[in-house]
Amino acid sequence: MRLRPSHAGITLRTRLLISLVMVCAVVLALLGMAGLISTQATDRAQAVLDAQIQPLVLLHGLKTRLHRIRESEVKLALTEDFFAAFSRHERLVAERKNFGEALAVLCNAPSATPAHVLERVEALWTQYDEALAALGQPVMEMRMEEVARIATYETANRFAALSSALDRVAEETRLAAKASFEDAALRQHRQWRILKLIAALGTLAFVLWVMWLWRALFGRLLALNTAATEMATEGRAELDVTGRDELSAVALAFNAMQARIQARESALRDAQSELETRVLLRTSELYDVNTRLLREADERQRAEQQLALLSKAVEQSPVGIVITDTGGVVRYVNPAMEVVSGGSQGVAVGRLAGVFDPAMNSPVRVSEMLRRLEAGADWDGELEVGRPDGSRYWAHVSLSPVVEHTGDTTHYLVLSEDISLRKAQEAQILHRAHHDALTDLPNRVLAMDRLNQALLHAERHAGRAALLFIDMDNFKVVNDRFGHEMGDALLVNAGQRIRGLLRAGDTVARHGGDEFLIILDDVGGADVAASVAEGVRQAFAAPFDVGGNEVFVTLSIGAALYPDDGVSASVLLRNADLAMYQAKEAGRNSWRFFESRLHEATQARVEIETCLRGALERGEFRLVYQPVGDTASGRIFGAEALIRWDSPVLGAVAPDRFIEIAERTGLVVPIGDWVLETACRQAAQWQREFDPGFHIAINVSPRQFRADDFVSRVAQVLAQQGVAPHTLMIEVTEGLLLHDHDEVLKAFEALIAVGARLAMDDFGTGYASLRYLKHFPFHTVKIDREFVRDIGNDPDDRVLVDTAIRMGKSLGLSVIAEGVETADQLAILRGFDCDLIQGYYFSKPLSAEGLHAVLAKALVAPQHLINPA
Amino acid sequence: MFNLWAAAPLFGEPRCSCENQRQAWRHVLQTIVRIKGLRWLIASGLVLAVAGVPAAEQADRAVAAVKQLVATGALPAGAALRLTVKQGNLASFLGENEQLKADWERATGTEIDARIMPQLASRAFIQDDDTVDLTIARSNETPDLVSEGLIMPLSPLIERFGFVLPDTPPDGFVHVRQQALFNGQVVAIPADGDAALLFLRRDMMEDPAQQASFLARFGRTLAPPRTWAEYQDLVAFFDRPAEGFYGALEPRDTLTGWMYWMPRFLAHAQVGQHLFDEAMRPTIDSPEGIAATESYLATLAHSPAGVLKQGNDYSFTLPLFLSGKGFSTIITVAAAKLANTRTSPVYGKVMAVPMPGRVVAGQTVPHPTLIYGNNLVIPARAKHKTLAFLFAMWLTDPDISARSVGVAGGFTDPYRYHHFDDPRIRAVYGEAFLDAAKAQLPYVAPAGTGLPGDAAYLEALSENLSVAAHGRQSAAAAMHNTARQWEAITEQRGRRAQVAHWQRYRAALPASASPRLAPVH
Repeated sequence: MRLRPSHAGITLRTRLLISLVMVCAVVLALLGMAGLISTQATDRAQAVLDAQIQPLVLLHGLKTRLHRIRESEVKLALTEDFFAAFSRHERLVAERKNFGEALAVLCNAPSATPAHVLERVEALWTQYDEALAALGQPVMEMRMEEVARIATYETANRFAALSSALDRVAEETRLAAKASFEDAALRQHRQWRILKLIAALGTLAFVLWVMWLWRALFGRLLALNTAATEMATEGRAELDVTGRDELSAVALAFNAMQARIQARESALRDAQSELETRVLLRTSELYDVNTRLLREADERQRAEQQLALLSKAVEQSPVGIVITDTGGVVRYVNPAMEVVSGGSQGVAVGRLAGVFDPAMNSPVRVSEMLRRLEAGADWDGELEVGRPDGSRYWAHVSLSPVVEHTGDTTHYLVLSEDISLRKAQEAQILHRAHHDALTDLPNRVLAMDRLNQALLHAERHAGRAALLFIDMDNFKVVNDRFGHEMGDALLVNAGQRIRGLLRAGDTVARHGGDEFLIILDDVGGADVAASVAEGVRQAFAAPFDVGGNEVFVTLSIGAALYPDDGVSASVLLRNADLAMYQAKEAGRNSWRFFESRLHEATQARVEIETCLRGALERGEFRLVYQPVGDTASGRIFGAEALIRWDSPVLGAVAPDRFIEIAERTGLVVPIGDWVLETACRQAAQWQREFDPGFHIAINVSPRQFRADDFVSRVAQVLAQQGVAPHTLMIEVTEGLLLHDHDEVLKAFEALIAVGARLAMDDFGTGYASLRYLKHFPFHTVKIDREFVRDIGNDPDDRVLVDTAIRMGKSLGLSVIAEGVETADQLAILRGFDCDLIQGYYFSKPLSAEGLHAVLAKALVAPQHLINPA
Repeated sequence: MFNLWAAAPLFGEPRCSCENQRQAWRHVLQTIVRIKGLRWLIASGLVLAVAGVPAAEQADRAVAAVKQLVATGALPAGAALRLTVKQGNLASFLGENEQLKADWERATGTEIDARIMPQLASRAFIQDDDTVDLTIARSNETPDLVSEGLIMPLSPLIERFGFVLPDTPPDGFVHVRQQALFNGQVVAIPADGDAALLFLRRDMMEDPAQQASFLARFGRTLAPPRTWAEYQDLVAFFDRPAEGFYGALEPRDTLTGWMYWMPRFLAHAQVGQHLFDEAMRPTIDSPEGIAATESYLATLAHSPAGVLKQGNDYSFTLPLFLSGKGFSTIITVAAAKLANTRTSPVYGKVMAVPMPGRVVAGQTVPHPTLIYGNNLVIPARAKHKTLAFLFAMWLTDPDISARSVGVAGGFTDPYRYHHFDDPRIRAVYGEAFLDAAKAQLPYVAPAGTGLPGDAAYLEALSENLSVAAHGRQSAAAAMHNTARQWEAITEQRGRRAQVAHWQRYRAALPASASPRLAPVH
């Protein structure tokens, strides 16, 4: 028998060691790769988690801050206390700063969200922030209407746009994270395949090695066994020993110790011992593998804990969360949702969620929601939701599909936030923005909107609409007499009374002050508008009870019809306003339809006003002087300065056409100042040259008179021009005396203190003239030309003029009769002992040069313009 | 005769040694014996509570007491204190970034549920809302609140927890008597030193051209007014209504008009003259009362038209003043926080001076009164009364209160002496403003009548002032009508009981309505 060497020169120990090293290397390589794959998978999962959860957490924080900012600005608009408003505004500023910083964190954080989306959010925030910054000034000035206007019209849209943009960021983040997750899963799958391949190759190598070992070891051991058996049973010849390995040595030993069985057994024990060592080695390797597996299990457990943390966050989220299956059936409700909805998880789970229930939500909206969700998109909106107890609330609802890595949608996620308070506050602001705070009637803004709607409706149906413009005739008297609070109460009662007369579809609005508007939709013709106007007018015949006082007020009403009197709201408003003024001019307590001539008159007034501006600077005014004569002697006593306007555009414009406009626009103040200075300068010249006692009279309008510096200005001009103060006569009309008696009286006393004299002009044209003469310290009264004109024919006028002269004299006043044109009139006035006269019979108004010539002539050759008595 | 408002410490001396404590205690007893009108304080037990307990660890003791209550089960762990204050004071109560709230919650394990109350008097609010543990009330409201059983007396809790209300420097409360006491009981804890203060345009006062013009017109130097007559000259001098600039921006609405009448009454009153005489007959229709009313009405000629409109209180006048549209206004020193901001149009242009009063022997005696004031009170229906008290004790601790008053966005005014010297608070208010407020501290008189029915008395006064301001009755008629209505109110509430209240209150008042006029011993 012959034992063949398996490989010349290499011992079995060496072979076993080499094999062992190779096996260990393969096992270590496999373990290393498995560990690497596991670590990378964990890292990728963490990265995906970070890319999704962290931005979403930041976004949730931003949305919460954004809603807090909106809530703050809405509350700010409702604040009435200054310190509270300041405090709230400070808080708003801090919230804006916090939001800006949080947004910067989001934008700078590593994120899968596209940069242009974040840039859009930053731009929208900048716009919103700028609008919010504009709140500072009105808050410091407590102009809360302006704050409300900004909150309603300027920030609301910017807030909504920013909110939507944040939603879009959330959606982009979710989509990006989903893509990252899928990529990570794919890469992990590839790595597992490589690992499996390497494991298979390692296993194959191990099998080949076992086969080779089988052949190299056990074949030869079998030969030894055979030989030993043969030797034990029948004995045998010495083994033929070849080679130099351990078996050759065994063979040699076998041969050497053939007689000694113990030696053979010893050799067999050695072999057995070596096999046991190998078993121990394999056991150790298996232990290492087991340890690795335990570590992986530990990592898996940590991932599960992270999931549990997220689950707890959902459970404790202040936002209401519902999870449904794809059929809309509720599977989970968090406690916040139970609080918000008033329901309970026990009842809700297993039922169709209300948001998907066509019986509780709009079927169209439900379809749209499901369509978006099935397409993998989100749905976001505000819904009014009912509670089991019947109450309702507004919620901001976000719906998102829950998508598995396979792309299948398994559930729907419903987020619900109670925004009832914000909705209520926004509704309140909107109401305040569109309604008058005092009467709660629609204000001018809403009225114009309703009017436009009425016009649209009339246009579509070829119908008519009417606008009535109402003004209280004597509201100011009520206000002055009973105070503003009573005036306010009257406005409220008046608004209610008008409202009670109209159809539900008609609009009554407060246009401002004591003005109301009525918008009549779908009127058949002018007769309907006339009927309503008359009805409203008659309704005010009954008195109002204002603070226990019985108050009567009347109305002047102007009506304009669409399309007859205008096709736009602004034109109709203007024309109804004009018609109202016509009703006032017609004696008040009446109504009028718009007439186009009114409009023409208005246009003429506008033209005059346009030309009037700058006329003073362009030197278009001049003064003429109408002499005032002594009735008895015929001597020139003085003159009244009268203004003339030569407009290069309009030609000569009569004072009665432009003075009223100058008064209304305030231009009368500088014009009157020019008259004062020019007349005084001229009078000073005549006083120096002809008569130190020459009187000059100027007319002063109410607005000029009420200017703060009027008295000081008179004193200044008198001093500058060197005019003796007592030669200046200031003529005022009754219009000045109607209001603010105390103020006027103070001014009169101040003028008298300066030395000027006061005259009541146009005496007799107002009903209260006599009372005014007694009440105010006039020096002179001028009887209006209306009464003088018919003094020769009308006994009544004669009696009236006689009475006025007597009464004036009894009060110590000098009397001037205006408009004397005939010798008869002069004779009668002389008979009544009238002091002075003025009129064409004495002299027409003369230019400064003309009067200068007359005075010069009188100086060198004393003469009279009329014959002395 | 003694000066009550500047009397020796009756409520304890903080941080004193044993010897100092003994001396303080002796001094207290001596003072009480001398002050006949204050003997009732002995019965209240306050003095005992005060003398033995230093106030240095007030906040720590409050926290320790809460912990003990929780440990013994007297207070559930995590109990929530329902604190309801006005929006403008919320930041002061909760601290900068709600840091005070966080400190309290961390230290005690309890929570603060803070809410906002209407910016009005507290009586109706406390009546209607039974979910409040701690809230605030104006100084003049406490007699009504106590007599109607709406708030609880605090003396038992003060004694139980060793709380002290010192009223002397360095860190005592500045207006203990005016804000905390009613009928011998502590019923409120001062938490806001709201005294009226006069604000003027410093830049105009210092303008040489104005000074020369003023001297030529009035024959005296342009200077802060010492009397209401001088004040009237100033507002008339600087009035420029045509330019939208007004001499006086004092509120004149119906609800708060009385606050601006009271200092005038005190300035015009004779020595010993109060709102009522000894038999509780009104004295406001006296020549002095009518003169005060005429002074009150005289500024209307130099005020914007809207000042008479209902609801146009300081929220109307103060923004105008801070926008540079007026020469003067009267408000608490809180306005300095707004004027002292660099973005304000009047930054650096405003000065505060003590309120006008009178000149006695060449010395100026200002006559400020408390106006709004936010004293801490505990509603009778509060759920956590003890917790509320301990929070009040903690909040008004010398250190904690300095943090509270120093909050930029809050409008609680300094109410302890050391607040006026605290660098943080001086930086927020502006040093000159605080110095002016501090200068008039000894003269600050209480607000209102001090009687049950105060709301009705003041409503009648304010209503008549309003009617007079609208020109529908003269100053004399306004005072006569008010006096008649006050008599009716007294009869309606029971003259005997009212007289008893008045005599107790009067005994605690100085001999004159103007404190410094009484000789000081």
